[in-house]
Amino acid sequence: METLELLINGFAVALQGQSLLACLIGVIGGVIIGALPGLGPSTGVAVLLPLTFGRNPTTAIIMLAGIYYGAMFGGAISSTLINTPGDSAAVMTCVDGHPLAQQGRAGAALGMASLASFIGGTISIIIFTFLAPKLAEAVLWFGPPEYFALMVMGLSTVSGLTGKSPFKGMASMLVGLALSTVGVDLVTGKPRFCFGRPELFSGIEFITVALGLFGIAELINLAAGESGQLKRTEVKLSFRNMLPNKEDWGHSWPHILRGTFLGFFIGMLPGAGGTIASFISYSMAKRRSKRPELFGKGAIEGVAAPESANNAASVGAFVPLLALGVPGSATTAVLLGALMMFNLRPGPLIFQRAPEFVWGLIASMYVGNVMLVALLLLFIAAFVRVLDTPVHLLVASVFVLILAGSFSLNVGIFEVGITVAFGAIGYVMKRLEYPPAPLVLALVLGHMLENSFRQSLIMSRGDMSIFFTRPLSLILLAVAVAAVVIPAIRNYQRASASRSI
Amino acid sequence: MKRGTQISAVVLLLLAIYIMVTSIKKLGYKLNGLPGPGYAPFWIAFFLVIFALGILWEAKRLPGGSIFTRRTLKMLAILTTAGIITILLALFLGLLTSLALVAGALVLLLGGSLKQAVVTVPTVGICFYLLFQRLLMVSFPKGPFGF
Repeated sequence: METLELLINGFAVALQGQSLLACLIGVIGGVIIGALPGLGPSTGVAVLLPLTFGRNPTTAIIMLAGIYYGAMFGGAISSTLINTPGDSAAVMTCVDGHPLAQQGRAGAALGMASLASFIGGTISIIIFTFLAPKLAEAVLWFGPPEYFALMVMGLSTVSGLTGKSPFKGMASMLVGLALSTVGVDLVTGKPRFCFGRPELFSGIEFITVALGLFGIAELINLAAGESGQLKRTEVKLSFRNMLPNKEDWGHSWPHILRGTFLGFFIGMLPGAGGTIASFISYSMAKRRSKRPELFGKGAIEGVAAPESANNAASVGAFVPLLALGVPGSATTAVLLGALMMFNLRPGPLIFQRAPEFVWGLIASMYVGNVMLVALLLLFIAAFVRVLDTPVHLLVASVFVLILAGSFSLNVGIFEVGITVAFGAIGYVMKRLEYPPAPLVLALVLGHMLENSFRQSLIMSRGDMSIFFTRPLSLILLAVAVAAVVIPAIRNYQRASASRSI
Repeated sequence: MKRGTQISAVVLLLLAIYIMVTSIKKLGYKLNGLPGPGYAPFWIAFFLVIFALGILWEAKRLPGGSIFTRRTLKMLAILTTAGIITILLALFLGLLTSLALVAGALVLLLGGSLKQAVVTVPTVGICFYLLFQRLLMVSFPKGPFGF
């Protein structure tokens, strides 16, 4: 009952004029960015984050959350109409979405994607509403060693599972951790790796790095693509032809429900997220479907299953972010950084210290989902026109927006330089298959990780065994080691097998 | 791919060695029996050495060939140079003018028409003025034109 009362209070915040406006702007911005090939939710949140500076923290985070789940849906538009996913979580939507568009059923595919996203998102928010506060209560007793181990686990699972090589993922994460040590040491007051630059005394802002790695690097990639204009399937979209028929629903609903639960719980795991959720949901849908032979040729349930899963995963990702203060993906890492910029420290205590913010955000997700489905069903034709924007205009305008945003952060040209440098580094990383997400995640978590480590050693008077004698800390560290070692052994076995063939 | 990965691993190794040496010699590894300012960077760099060696080992199995095509290199050069020019121009002309001019130049360089580039310059200038300076109250460095 208490949860419902808090949720009602949250609605009082979420239904205020400025919250509704922020949510609407976020959802529209998210769908537009998500629809552009290559630009996913992490890019969207990073690029549009500077637009929230100086605003009320609750309004700002409501807008950023709207961008996140808006972008998760936006990916379906480009997947269906140009057979190019907006981001990796929308890859599976291409498989059946594009064949449906070629058969003249783009409306049904996009309509089913919207409704499956809505159902997946809404059911997940209901689970989130009741689960997150309980989880936060359960971890209230966590001490610095448990927090240290939890962060190590989060970082190593993201690094071990993201990208093709766990070594590259770990190296990316360690570079992020090294960057987080730049600045004045809080305990001794000694500058570390500042090279005499006063701009570095307060450390490297994660957002300047994220804007480069996720923003500029993706723009270079987009500009380097073959086509100057994205070629989309010509379609006629209206409210009526977007509504799936009875037969479509009959085929899709069990897959939507399965995808929702699967997506939510996979989304909660660090390193897994929307991409893995949509892959698993699609393959399960294909295995359990009465007409598996249609998959890949235009099965409507092949659109419904991954879309419900990736939207549910985007909600699931908020559980560890808010309840534990540990993000499990690139987008939630950027959101954590944003929360910290607004002096909101996520973790178990946030439910007690900032209930208005937390419940306002949760309530806004319900509102945002309704807005999202209404906007998509009514104005999909307008969103589709984003794909007609010439690439050169898009790259030029987003590029200068990123530079202006980077400047706005600390009102300094130095930050713009860092963003440009990380844009170039990020593009080289992309070509060499180093995942950027672990770097950003480590940069965001680095300070907290070092603080928890130092506090733990102060508690134990310098005795390292504190991390191994507390059961939960030991289990979390063991999972962290396994998350790196198991993928590395699998890679080795795969390589050995291919050599012997 | 193979050569590129090997070079990146060597760069990571050099970076890690630099961090380790600086951590011990300049920052201080321990302080009153507890971790000093150089403790965390030292161990981060230590693990970076291990994983950089892992990348080097893994690179042996990678296929050869360049990671860049002529087009990808050109785009990397164009956007990086555009970023540097924006910074340099901002010192003399102000950030708003610099961003608008660079946006116009980018439209041309990326294959747009002269007409599109000419329209882009004032559009970016006006939109960014309204968005950043009026709405978000961010004060951009001003140039000789007063904006």
